[in-house]
Amino acid sequence: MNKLLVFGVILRFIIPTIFPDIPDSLDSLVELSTPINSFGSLKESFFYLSNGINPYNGGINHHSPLLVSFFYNFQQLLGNNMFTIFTNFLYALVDALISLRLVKINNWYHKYNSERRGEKLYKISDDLIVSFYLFNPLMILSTLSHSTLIFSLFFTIESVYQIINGNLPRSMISLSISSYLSLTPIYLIFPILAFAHRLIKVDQLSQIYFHGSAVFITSIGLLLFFSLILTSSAEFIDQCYGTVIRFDKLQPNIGLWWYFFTEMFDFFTPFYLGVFNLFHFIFILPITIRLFEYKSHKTVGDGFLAIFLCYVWLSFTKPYPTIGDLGFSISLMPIFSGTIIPYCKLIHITGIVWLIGLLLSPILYYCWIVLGNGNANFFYSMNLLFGAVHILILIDFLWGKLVSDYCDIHKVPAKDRHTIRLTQY
Amino acid sequence: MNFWVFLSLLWVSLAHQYYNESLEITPLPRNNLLAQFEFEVKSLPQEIKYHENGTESSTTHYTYFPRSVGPLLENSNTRELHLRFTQGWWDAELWGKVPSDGKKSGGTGVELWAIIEAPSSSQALKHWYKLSKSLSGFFCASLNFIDDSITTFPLSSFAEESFKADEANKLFLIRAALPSEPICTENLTPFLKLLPTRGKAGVSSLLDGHKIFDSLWHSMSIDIKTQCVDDVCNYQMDQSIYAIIDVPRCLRKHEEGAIAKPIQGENLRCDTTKDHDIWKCFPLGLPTELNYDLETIFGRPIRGSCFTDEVSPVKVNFKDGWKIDIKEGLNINTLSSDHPIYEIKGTKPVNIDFNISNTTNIPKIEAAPLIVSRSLTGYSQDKGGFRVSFTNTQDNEVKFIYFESLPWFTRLYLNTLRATVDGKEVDFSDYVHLKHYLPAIDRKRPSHMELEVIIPAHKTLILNYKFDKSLLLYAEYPPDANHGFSVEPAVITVFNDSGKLFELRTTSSLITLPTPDFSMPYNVIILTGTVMSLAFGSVVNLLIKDIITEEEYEKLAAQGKLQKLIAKIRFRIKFVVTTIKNIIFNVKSLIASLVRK
Repeated sequence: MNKLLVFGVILRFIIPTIFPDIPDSLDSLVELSTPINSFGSLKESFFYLSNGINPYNGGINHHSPLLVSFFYNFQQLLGNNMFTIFTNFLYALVDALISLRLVKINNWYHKYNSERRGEKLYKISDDLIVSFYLFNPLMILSTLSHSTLIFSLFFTIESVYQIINGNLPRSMISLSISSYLSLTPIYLIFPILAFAHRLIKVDQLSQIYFHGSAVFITSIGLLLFFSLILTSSAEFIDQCYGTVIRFDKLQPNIGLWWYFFTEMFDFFTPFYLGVFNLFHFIFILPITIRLFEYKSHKTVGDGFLAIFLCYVWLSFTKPYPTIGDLGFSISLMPIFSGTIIPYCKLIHITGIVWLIGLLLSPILYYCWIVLGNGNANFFYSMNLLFGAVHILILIDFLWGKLVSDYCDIHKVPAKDRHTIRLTQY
Repeated sequence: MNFWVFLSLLWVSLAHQYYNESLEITPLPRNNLLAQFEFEVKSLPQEIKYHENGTESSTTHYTYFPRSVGPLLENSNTRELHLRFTQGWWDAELWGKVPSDGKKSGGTGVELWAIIEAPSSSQALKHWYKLSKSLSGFFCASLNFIDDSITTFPLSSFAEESFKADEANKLFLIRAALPSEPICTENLTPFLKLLPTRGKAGVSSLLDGHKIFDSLWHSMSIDIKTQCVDDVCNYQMDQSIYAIIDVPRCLRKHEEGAIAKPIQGENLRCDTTKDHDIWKCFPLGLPTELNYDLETIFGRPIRGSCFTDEVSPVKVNFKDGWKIDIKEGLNINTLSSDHPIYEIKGTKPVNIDFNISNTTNIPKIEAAPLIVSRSLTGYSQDKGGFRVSFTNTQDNEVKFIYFESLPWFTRLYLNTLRATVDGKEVDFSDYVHLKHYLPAIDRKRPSHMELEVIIPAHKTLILNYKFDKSLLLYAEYPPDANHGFSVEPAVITVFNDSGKLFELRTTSSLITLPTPDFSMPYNVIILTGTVMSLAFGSVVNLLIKDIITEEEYEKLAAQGKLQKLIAKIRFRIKFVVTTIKNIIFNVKSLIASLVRK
């Protein structure tokens, strides 16, 4: 595992250091960078800052003030060349940390579920978990494009890890940083608290919810407060979060929003903005409740799966998704190889649909934007395909879990488990 | 009675002081002519005050100054007004400096800037929109499309204040440009209406839209300034029209009509030093011997002087080889033999004949101190950039302000600004100083950049920077979306320590934005809706339906309709009850833990 880790880090560090143009050219791909996580706009905000311009008064910067000032201070401290090397190293490091967290989560998940079921489940090796993350081409591309998505991912996964670790405040602080950086993870607080409900041993269960949300709100408040002090105006809230909620920046991405709102009639736009924002988190609570580990049955429900499925749902309905979001959910999938994957029936179809989307989307985008022999519909069709990938993952995993639960509740013998034909009524 | 006598006396004695006009014709290479029409009007002295919400004008008498413009300026508290209508490309390498040091001609399209007196910038903007809307109706131009998204407050490029505002107020310089506005006869007619002669006499009677707008480059400008001595002010309005006239084209049109025909065999100009017969002809360059008159070029003669007792001077800058026939009604003012000034008197139509034996013999052209060209880089619809090249043609260094305002849909990345001098990459901060930069806000504000640039003698500086092109909303595209969007010309103001020397503009640029498919709105709504409801439906089903084996299901399906329904409801209730039970259980334990606490 250590070799893989070192290799993954070197890959991420060496490539952009030797070819410094790679991050910039990857940053120009719509699949990898959106107005809110592009490194190019972060660099533009450095330019604003060094020229005494407020980076939140118009312009193209939609990154959180603390992130901007973190990078800006390093850039001022190190100079341009050293700063490039520093960012290359930082991104590689964060990726390595994410993969280490994934390994820890995998180990825990296997142990926890084996104990719950009282049987030894199949465990995917650490090496594979690390490889699934570090050598996932989508994650490599996402890291090389220096998309700031990765920091948000790191803090999200750290938040999950801290729950396993039994430390609720740390988990909530991580989640608040993650939400502060990119807003979307804020919805994950529900599945994560439900996850903590089962895992964290406290005298009173209410502590989890009250302490958890208190810590979360306080740390978000502190982050916003520091940002407010740093920028001495509240403009950043509108620029960082208003842009996401109102979907101000119409730039093609792989999500469902951009073409819909481009083509939408003016007077319907506010209505559909409401609908899309509602749709964004509509299944967070239902999934959390359905997959909650109720005490009524020992093996029913799966808190970590709920987090995973909520994440997939959020990535499906995000205003500005990138393939990094999808890639991350794919890196999480092998963790379930002992529990749910055996019941999944659509993995191959999902994989093929996903591959087609991945191959065709840059080609069709090129046809539309550069060659002019295609139009926006070509690229849009690939967005629908990416939507289909998310739906397939969602229903496949949900159905797999339901089948597994059914088998456990009805004590279906192990030999029949994969042949049993179930339906819904 | 006495009063009227006095007034008419005043009128006569002041007439000369309040209106001037002139025409200057300068030959240029390749048989082109530069015609410069200048008109100056001054209003009577009056008091000018700040009016918050507009007012009935206190002044009712403007003499030569147009009655329509005065109240407009007073109502919108405009202290200085500059309006430009320009089309065509000024070839600086061939034609040299722009006339009047470029201070009286704009960039492609319509350009408007004004100095407005107001207590605050928001109030100034209110006055500004009032002004632009009134001017829009007045000049039949799309000035009513001026809104927040193209309005800027320039800092240094245009500053030339002569008015002192009230102590409570400030002067705001506001500017907007409409680069894609075509300039046409409908703009010229109101322009002529402003003149006391109404274009019916004097040199302005030469101005015919068909001829002026047929030129290689033309610029119409109006500059109104308020000049004050203590509390008494008067408006000074300079109107000018500059045009580069392509003489052979005018002659051809005159002879053959508007539709170009192939040159007849006998009219071919063949190089006689080479082999030539009825089949072969090596064409010669442009003719050097030309005979034409003012009427051929402008379509009309000059209809006498502007006023019967006034003189309209016509100045022709010519050299040897140019012979000019003086006709009746012309006086020559022999100040200089090279540049005689013909003074038109009386009411008779006047025509001037030009008989030229050598059209290449022209006065020396004053070279432009700086040659600037701006071009687009990049090849895709979602990204692009600008490459601006500045060439200093002088022996000393040149200092200037580069003013550029880009529309909000070009998302400028100024950190990509790179500079090269004579082909070598340099640190741009050695040559360029970012004086002001205000990033754009979507649909609300254009980006506004002012660079202070210093270029050493005979060097070429090239600036490169990049931008992203935004996708627009479906309804924001014009009907010909793939034609592209015009970006207004950048303004370069060359100055030295004593002040503004020279002004020039780049061309406007046409950028293509990514376009959606305009036939798709319903399809997109339907398809996206389908994917969303597919996700929604299947997840809802998975989350709330009960799971049974297929055998059980078939058993159920075999039953009658009523039983099926009952079974369905039973399952639903069972599911809901268990879920609620589970939730209640958890809530209970929560409450229990609370109570225990």
